[in-house]
Amino acid sequence: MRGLIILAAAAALLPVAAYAQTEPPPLPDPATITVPDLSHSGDPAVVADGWKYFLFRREGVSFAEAHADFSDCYRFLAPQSWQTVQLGRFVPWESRAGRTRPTYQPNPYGLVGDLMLMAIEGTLARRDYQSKMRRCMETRGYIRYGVDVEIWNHVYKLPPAQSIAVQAKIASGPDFGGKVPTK
Amino acid sequence: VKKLLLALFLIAFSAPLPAFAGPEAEDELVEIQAGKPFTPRADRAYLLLRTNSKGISPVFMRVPTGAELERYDAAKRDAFAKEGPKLVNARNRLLADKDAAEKAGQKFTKAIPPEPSIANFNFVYDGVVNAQTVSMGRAFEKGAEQRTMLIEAVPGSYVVLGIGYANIMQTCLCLGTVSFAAEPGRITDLGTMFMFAASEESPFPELAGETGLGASMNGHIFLWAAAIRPSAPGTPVPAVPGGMPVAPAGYRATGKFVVPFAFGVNRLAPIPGILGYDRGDVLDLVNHTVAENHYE
Repeated sequence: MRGLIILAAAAALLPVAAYAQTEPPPLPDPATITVPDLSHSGDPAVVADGWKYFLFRREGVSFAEAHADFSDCYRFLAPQSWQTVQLGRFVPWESRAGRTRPTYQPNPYGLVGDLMLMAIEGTLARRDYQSKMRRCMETRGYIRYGVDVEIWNHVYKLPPAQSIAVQAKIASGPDFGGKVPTK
Repeated sequence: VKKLLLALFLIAFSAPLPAFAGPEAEDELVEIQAGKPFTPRADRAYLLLRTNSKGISPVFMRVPTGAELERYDAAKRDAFAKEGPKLVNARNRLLADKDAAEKAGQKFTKAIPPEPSIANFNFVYDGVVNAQTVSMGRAFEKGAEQRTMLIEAVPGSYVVLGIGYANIMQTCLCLGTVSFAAEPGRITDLGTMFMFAASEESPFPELAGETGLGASMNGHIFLWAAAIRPSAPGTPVPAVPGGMPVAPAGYRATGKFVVPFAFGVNRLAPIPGILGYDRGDVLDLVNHTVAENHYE
């Protein structure tokens, strides 16, 4: 039963798994990329909720530089679970990291803990993603702007190469919305 | 309700977890505790570290030697020779199912893995464990605000890989960190390492620009910020039995890297004269170059 629950939780992560990117996609022609309608991004409710749903922008950045930045940051987005983050492993360093023996580590909080994990796994996966993107992009001078949850979900769920292209065009495009409050 | 569950989970998983029963490889990092029998080993290096942390620990990774990599590569080749045909068969079955579904006008949603190769083979290797946390509970000295760790280590070149707890990798320093050499028969003084939740305001000046970033920094677990204040003349050094020489760590900047086993990614805070950043680039301030990235 617990194995099934863990598998279900892991399955919930699969759409996000597509974001793990090792090789940067080729630079597309920005004229061929359609971005979502961001005209409502300045609505107070969208800005207030922007700490959860945001896209990046940097004044003066070129499309090519933004594309390179997003491509680089996508390298770090492999989703994780309590099973994958265990150490006690060999790290070759100069080549792909050796995977640890896939031993299931029981949740120390039992079946209730497993059920809680399953209930919030989607939220945790989103928060891991947002946290990684914040550290990787904000340290390069990008600023968060809130967007409607449906727009964020649309961009988030695109195949990686498309998502990178759309976000790079938005990041290098005209100002939109409101800056997200620190949260 | 989701917020409540999330808060409960963050609290719950900040509590001690049972230690991971890892593979039966040598424990490469052994904490030395004051008052317990201790005889320095000539074939071991010793790391001295002061820290504000009473729980979370740096994750140290020893860079494998050429001989270890050769053994790893040989073991990987052997394993792939055994498992590769099964992976090829499994992929062929999926391709056949996809073909049949498309011919029947049905949607096929299963992912087709890439063609199996030695490069993408997800290999299990437990011959050497070269990335570990240490237990802050086994400190050499315990003060009210600071702990001092003395760690017996396999000599070699080490990377401060991230922050973890009980052999769980919580935050990798994938966006920039430092490495250092640990020589046998001597104590390498790593200085003072500060670790603090990136979401909260830190009292440590070295972490001023790396903390207070808000709760959205936290996902499965807290995202940790980390800084190192290198040892300087006058930094107190505890009396260690055996009279081993003590030398400050010769830190060097280490560029970005990807590890497939961390909840969060961060960077080590800049260190004057050693580690800096220019947007996405990691700067080696000793050699005045951009540090090499360790991507595949």
